[in-house]
Amino acid sequence: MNILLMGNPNVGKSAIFSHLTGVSIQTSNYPGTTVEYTKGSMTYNKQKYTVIDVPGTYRLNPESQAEQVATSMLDSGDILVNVVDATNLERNLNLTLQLMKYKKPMVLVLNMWDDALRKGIEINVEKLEYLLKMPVITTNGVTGEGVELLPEKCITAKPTYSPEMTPATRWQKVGDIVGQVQNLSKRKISFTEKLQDLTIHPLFGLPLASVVLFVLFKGIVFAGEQMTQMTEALFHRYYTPLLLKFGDFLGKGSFWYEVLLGTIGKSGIHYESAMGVLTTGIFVSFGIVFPYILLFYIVFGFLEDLGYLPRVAVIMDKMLHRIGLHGYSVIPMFLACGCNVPGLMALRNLETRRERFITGVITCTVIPCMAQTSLIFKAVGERGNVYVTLVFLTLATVWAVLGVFLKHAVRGNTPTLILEIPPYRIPNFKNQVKKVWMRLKCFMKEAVPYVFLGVFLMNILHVTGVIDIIGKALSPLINGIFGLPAETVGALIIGTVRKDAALALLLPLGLTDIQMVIAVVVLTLYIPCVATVTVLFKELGVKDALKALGVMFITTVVTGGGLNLLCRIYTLKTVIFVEQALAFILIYIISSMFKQKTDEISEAL
Amino acid sequence: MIKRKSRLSDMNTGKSGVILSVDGGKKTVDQLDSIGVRIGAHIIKKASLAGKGPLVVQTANTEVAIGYLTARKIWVEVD
Ligand SMILES: Nc1nc2c(ncn2[C@@H]2O[C@H](COP(=O)(O)OP(=O)(O)OP(=O)(O)O)[C@@H](O)[C@H]2O)c(=O)[nH]1
Ligand SMILES: [Mg+2]
Repeated sequence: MNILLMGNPNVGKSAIFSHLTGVSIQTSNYPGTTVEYTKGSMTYNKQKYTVIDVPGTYRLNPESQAEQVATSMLDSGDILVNVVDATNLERNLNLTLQLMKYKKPMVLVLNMWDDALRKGIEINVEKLEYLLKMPVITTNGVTGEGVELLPEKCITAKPTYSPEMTPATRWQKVGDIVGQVQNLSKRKISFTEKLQDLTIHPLFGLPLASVVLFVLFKGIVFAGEQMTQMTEALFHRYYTPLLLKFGDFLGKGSFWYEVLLGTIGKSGIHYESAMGVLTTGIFVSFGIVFPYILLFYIVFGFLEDLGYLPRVAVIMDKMLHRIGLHGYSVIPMFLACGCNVPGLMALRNLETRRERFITGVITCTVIPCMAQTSLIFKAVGERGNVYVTLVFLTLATVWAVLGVFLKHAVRGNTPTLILEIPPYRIPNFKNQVKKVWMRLKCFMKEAVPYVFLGVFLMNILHVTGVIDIIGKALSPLINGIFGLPAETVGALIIGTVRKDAALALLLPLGLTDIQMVIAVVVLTLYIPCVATVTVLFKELGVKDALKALGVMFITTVVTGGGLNLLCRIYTLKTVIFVEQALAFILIYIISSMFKQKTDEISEAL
Repeated sequence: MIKRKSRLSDMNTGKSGVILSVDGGKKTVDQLDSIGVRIGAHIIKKASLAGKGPLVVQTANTEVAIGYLTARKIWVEVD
């Protein structure tokens, strides 16, 4: 028996699912968190039932892929649990009536009951049960209150039916029901509601968002530096003695010694350059990346649950349309700052192939994941802030220029924004801890093994001498165009597996400051890590994914080569200005060139 | 009181009204309808972003952001 959790986006389906099945999944305060169904199970009267959490949907004939998943699941459901937002009864019941035409047993869950009480919304539950002819319960998805009643109601629910109607008659019927069961009382406007208006204020919204995001970014960088210094000290103090003992056990010069520990000099272990799985591999994952990931997800999880992201989508919408994106693209891009994989998955909330393509390409070309970012700070930050600025400014420039190019080159148009903005909700502490924990667990399971694999592969390539051969073959590109030494080829190869491991390989190479900047930029742009590429193919399809990879390659050559050239001609500070000026000129040229040519090019792409 | 017909995009922020019609194609109409921005709904314009950016309306208890070009197609009888 399949029990399906259905309902509008952002009503708390995933929260209820977690309480019902004990399976933890991501919840957050914006529409479109869940893009794929998740299965779990619950036991009632010793009988096991499958429970399925489904992406939210506003209607049963939707446009976006995520919503289509929901409707395609419908047939497989034996019992429907329709989760609704009690503060938003009217809009939610519209879907309820549509679901009722399937003649399945249904239960109505009035979630966000706490919010409804706070907002002075009273709903007569018995009357609603009577009018809809289905059991109705009230719940709180955060605490799980009321969810315990759900299994029994599910099992005893009887099929209900409501005929197909035109939208207008359906709204009328909904209005009729709501009029009979709902009672609103007046109340004061709360603090969060005032804040709500301020953050989308036509004048203050954008400056506020810039300040908030900048301060948070700076905060993460600062705290990250402190924490990595601490972890490094801890490594030397506690981990080094252990490894040295282990090294004695393995015997210096043996194969496993080389692979697991790498090169250890007389002065002790140099974690950045030893290149063993247990030395550099562990250090990169836990000494450098882990602190930043932890900090990022604490901050990001808070913003998600507060409900700030959809507001950023609104205030950035206009600007993003200029470069071929869409307000909602903010969500994939933000997620990608943590890890590109969930970022790409979130593309499913976008409606057209064109939007998905442009956002997808830009996201995985330009946006470094947190693991990568932490190593960028490590590799470039030590050499001075101006280099960090140059790296991120270059990425931002590529972001804009590439966006404008794709906007003109990819056929079709981007639909305007239509997005529900949830109210601000004060994040629940326990929930926040759980979310961070889930994401860290995912990092350990999905990312760390690849770092080890990367370091391991590097050793194999070195031992077999393959690396020198490839280095020679690619030298015109690496040395000629990017101005980098041939040894960086190792990083480029490992970068296809894992970017943080690849960046770590750059550390001991003794690059000049400028070379380091170029290497970091090239490593960010040229190709995503293997996990991201896999998802890219899955989300965009083979043809579009191949095009995306082509775009990345060209972008890398142009950017890396251009940067190398500029740095040879100008001093560092001038480079930053020249780069910006060039970007504007490029954007201008692309825009005017494509005004005439749009049609031809879109045929080609 | 005299009622005035206006495009949603031209309405002043803070004003409210009832949606009379939507000029867009069926796709847009359906999408707006499913999210609660439908003919006959009472709405309040909460904000509109500068430079023909999206605007935010409240209907019942939901806030919805709508792109400027779509908002131009929505006709409202202003209270
Ligand atoms: N105050 C309050 N917040 C809730 C309740 N249930 C869920 N939430 C919060 O509402 C937000 C949305 O919850 P989700 O479980 O992600 O919603 P969903 O229906 O799965 O959303 P989609 O996957 O986007 O369709 C989260 O921030 C939850 O913490 C509730 O009963 N009361
Ligand atoms: Mg969900």
